[in-house]
Amino acid sequence: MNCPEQEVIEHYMSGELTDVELTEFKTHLQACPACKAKVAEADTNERLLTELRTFGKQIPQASKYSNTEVATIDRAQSFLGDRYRVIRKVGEGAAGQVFQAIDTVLERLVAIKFLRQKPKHDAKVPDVCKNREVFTRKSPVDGADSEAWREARLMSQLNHPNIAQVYEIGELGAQRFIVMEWVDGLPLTEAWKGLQLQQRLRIYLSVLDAVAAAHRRNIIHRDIKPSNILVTSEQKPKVLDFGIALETLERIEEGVYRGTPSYSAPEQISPPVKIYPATDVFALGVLFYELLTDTLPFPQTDAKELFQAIRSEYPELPSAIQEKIPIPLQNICLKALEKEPQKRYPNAQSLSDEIHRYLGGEKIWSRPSFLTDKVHQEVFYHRQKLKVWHDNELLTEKEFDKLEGIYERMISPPDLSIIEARKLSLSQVCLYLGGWVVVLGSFVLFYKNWEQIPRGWRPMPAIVATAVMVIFGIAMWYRNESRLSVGFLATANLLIPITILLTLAQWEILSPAYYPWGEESIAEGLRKSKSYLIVGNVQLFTSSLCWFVASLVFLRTTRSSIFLVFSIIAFLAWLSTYYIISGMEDWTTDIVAGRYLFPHIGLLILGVILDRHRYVKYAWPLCVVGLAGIVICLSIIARSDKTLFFWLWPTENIPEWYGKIIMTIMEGQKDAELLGFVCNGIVYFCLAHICRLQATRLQRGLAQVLNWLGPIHILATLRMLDGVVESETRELIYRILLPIASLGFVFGSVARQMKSFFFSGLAGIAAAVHKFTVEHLDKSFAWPVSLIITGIVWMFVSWLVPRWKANQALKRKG
Amino acid sequence: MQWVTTTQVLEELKASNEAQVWRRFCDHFRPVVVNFARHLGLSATDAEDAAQETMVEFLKAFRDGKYDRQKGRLSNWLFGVARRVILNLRGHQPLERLVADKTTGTSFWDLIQDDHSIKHSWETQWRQMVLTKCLEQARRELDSKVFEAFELYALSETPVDEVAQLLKMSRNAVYIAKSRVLSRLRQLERQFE
Repeated sequence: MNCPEQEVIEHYMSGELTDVELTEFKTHLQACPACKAKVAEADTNERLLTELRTFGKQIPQASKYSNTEVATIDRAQSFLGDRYRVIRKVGEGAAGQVFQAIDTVLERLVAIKFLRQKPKHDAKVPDVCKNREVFTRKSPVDGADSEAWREARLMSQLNHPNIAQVYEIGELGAQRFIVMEWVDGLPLTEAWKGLQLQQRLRIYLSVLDAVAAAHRRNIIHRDIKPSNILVTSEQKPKVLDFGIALETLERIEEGVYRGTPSYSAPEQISPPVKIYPATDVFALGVLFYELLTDTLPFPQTDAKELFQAIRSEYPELPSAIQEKIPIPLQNICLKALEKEPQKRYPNAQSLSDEIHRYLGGEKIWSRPSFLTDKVHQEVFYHRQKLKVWHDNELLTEKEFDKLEGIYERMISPPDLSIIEARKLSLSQVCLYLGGWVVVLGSFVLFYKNWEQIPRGWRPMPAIVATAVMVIFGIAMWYRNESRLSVGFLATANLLIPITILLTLAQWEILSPAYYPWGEESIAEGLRKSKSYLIVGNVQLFTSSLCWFVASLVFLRTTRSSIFLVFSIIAFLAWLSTYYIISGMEDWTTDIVAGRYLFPHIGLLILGVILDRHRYVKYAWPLCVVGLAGIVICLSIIARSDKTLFFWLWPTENIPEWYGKIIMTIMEGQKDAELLGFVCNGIVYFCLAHICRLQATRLQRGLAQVLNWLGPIHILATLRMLDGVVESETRELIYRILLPIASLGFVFGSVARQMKSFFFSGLAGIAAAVHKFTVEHLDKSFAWPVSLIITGIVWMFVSWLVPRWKANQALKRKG
Repeated sequence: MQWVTTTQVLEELKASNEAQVWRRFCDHFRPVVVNFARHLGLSATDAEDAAQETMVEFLKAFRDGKYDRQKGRLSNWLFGVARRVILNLRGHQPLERLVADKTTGTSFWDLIQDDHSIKHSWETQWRQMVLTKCLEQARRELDSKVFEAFELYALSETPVDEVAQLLKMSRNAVYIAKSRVLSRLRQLERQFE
C-alpha cells in the first residue's frame, strides 16, 4: 500500500475514518516508520493548534501588535475640548497615536497626533545607562517624545504645498498633541499603480520639490519611503513624518540607526553614521527605481543581507527589468543610488533639476560611476589593441591619432562650464541677446558714412564695445565665471571683424584698390548711392584673418565650440546674402523649380532606401543633393508670383470650383508667397519628425538640418511681408510682428532647448533692425550707439539680476 | 519586525551599547510586561511606567552579571523583576487608586488571589508573545497562500471544502498547509526560547 495522503492522517487524528479505513491505516502505520513519524508530528501539532485557538482571533492579528491603548477616543476627546471632535483612531506608532478629527471652528478634517507621555521615573535610570547618552536620550518613550516635538517644530517651519501642514501644537497637563493637515490618500507606490511613466514622474517631481524645500531649510528627512508620502485623489503627494528628521546639513551620529532598511543609504547603516542631504537623495533614488520598475533595488528580506547589498552591491539595471525605460532616466536613478554620498546628487533640488533637464529635451550628463568605470576599462582595453594594430601597421598614423582622440574624449569628464554655456537658460538667453544687440548696433555703423561725425570718432562705439567685451570676458574667466566669460568673449569675437573693418574703412587704412564683389556695377552703384560704407577686399581679408585668429585664440583658451559655430554662421550669412540677391530671382522660375522638385524628392527617397539597406556611402550624397534640391525648389515656388495651389494644378483648365476656393482663401496672388514659406516650414518640421523616427545616423543628421530649416522659413515669411504689404496697417503688423515673433523664438527656445529657434530668432531680430534702420534711422548716429549701449546694459543686467536674486534668497533663508 | 531569538537579543545586549539593540530588546519584552501589569489591574499609564522600569532594572542586573542563562529561563527572571516593580509601584499608590470598583468593594489585592495565579497570568502573557512572534515570522517565511489556508482552516475553523474552493487548491493541499505551518511554528518556538 502507498503512503496515505495528509488528508487521511488528518481524518485519523480527528477520528473520521471508517472501520475499514482505520484497520487499513493502522496496518500501514506498523510497516511504515515515516508515516508513524508524521502521525506523531500531527499529534504535537494538534496540541499547539489548541493553544493557538485558546488565544483566539487576537493572535493572527498580532502582526499589528500594539501596546495597551493609552488614549481611547473618549480620552482623546477629553483633552481636546470642543474645538476638535475625534472621529476615529487611524494609527499608532512609537511616538504616539493618531486620530482623525473635525475642526469644528474651521470645519475641516484634521489629523491629531497624541504624543506618549514621559515616564515618571527617569531618576531610576541605572548609572550604567546614564553614562551613555544614546540610552538615556533614546530610550523608546523619552526619545519618541522629543522626536515628536521636533517633528512638529520642523514641520511647522516648512510651508510647502507638498508637505503636510502643522496647524497647532497643544499641551494640556502632561498630554501633548499636534494638529496636522488631514491627508486622505494612498502611499506613493500604491498610488502610482497603473499610471503612465509621465504621470508618475509628475508626482515624483512634486515629492522632490517638497524634499528640496526641506533641504533648503537645512532639514534632512532621513525616512523617505512610500508610506511617508501620501498621494491624494488629485494626484498631489504630501510628505509626512519628519519624526526623525535632522535640522542640520551634515551630522555624525555614532551608533544610531534611524530609518527604514530598504530605503537607507550606505552611510546611514555603517558606523559612524553620517547624515547628508544626499542621504535623502539615496532614498529618493530607491523611490525612483520603484517608479521605473515597480520593484525595490535591493529586494533582500533578511536585514543582514539587505545591509550588505546596500553597502557593496549594485542594483540590477532598471532597463533589464523594464525594457522601455529611457536610458537617461536609468542613469539619473543609478546616480542617485551611488554608494558614496559625494557621487550622488548633493540634494533633492539637483536631482529634480536633472529630471527637468531630461523632460526639457536636454542632454543628461549623469553617468553612474559603475557604468563609467566599465567604459574606462573597455577604453583601456581598446587602446591597448589600437597600439598593437598601429605597431603592426594595420592603422595609419592619422587613423591611430583620430581614434586615440575619440577615446580620450570619451573618458575625459565633461566640462560643466561649456555644458552650462551651451544650455539655453533664461539668463543665458538674455546674455546672448544683449551681445547680439551690441553686434547689430556695431553692424549698423556700416549703413552710412556718417559725414556729420569726425572721421576719427566714427568707429569709436564699436571699438569701445569690443574693448568692454574683451576686458569683462577675461575678467570673468579669471573669476571662474566661465559661463559669463563665454558670453562676453563670444560677443567680442563677433565684434572683432566688424570693428576692424569699420576702423580700416573709416580711417582709410589699406584703402581699396578695387572692390571685393567682382561685379563692378554693384560696387559702383553702392558708391553712388552713398548709403553704405564701402570696404575694400584687402580690408575684408585683414579683418577676416584677425577674426579667424581671434576665434582660434578664444577656442583654445575656453575650449568652447561656440566661437567656431558663431564664426561659421556669420561667414555663411555673409555669403548667403549675396547668393539671394544675385541668384534666385533672376534665373529661376517656379515652373523650372516644379520640374526639378519631384526628381529631387526621388533622390531623397532613394537615399533613404539605400541607407535602410546599409549602403550608407551611396545614400549620403543622394540625400544631401535631394534635400538641397527640395529646399531650393520649394523656396522658389514659394517666392514665385503664382499661388501654391495653382502650381499644384499647373494646367490652365482648372475646374471653376477649385479656382473659386483658391481665390477665396488667397485673396490675391501676392499672399501666396507668405503661405508658401509657412507651408515649407511646416513640411520641414514634418520631414524632421519622420527622419527622427528612423534611428539611422544619416537620418538623424537630416532631421537636424530640417530642424533648422523649419523656424528659418517661418520667420522668412514675416521678412517677405516687406515685398507684399500695401496698407499702413499691414506695414505696422510687419514692423511689430517680426521683432515680436523673433523675440518669441529667442525666449521660447529656453523651454525645450531649441537652438534652431534661438538662432532663427536672432536672425529675425537682425532682419528687423536692418529694416528699421534702412527705413527710419539711417541718418542718426545715435541709433547704432544706443543699440550698442542697450546691448551692453542688457548683458550686465542679465549677469547681475540672477546674482541679486540669489543674494535675496540667501538673506531670506538667513 | 525582524525575527530575532531571545539568545540573540541577550548576546547583542551584552556585546553592544547601541540604541538599536536596546530598542530591539524593549520591542521584544516590553509588551509582555505592560499586558501583565494591566492584567494585574494597573492603569495604562502606570503599566507603561512599570514596563519601562522593569526593562531598566533588568538591564542593570544583566550587565552586572546577575542573570545567568544556564540557571533559568529569561521568562522566569523577567517575571521576578516585573513582579517586584509592579508591587513597589502599587506601594506608592494612594489607596483609592487600588480600588478597582468601589461599589462592590473589590480592591487591587482582591484581584490577586495568590502567587500561583500571578505566575499563571505572566506565563499566559509570555506564551502569547512567543506565539505571536512565531506566527509573524511564519507568515513572513511561508508562501502567502499556504499561510492563508492555515489561517482559514486551522485558526478560523472554516470548513476544508470552502477553503479549498476559495483558494483554488485541493483538500489535501489545505491539510498539508496546516501541517507545514504548525511544524514550522514549533521549530520557531524552540528557536525563540
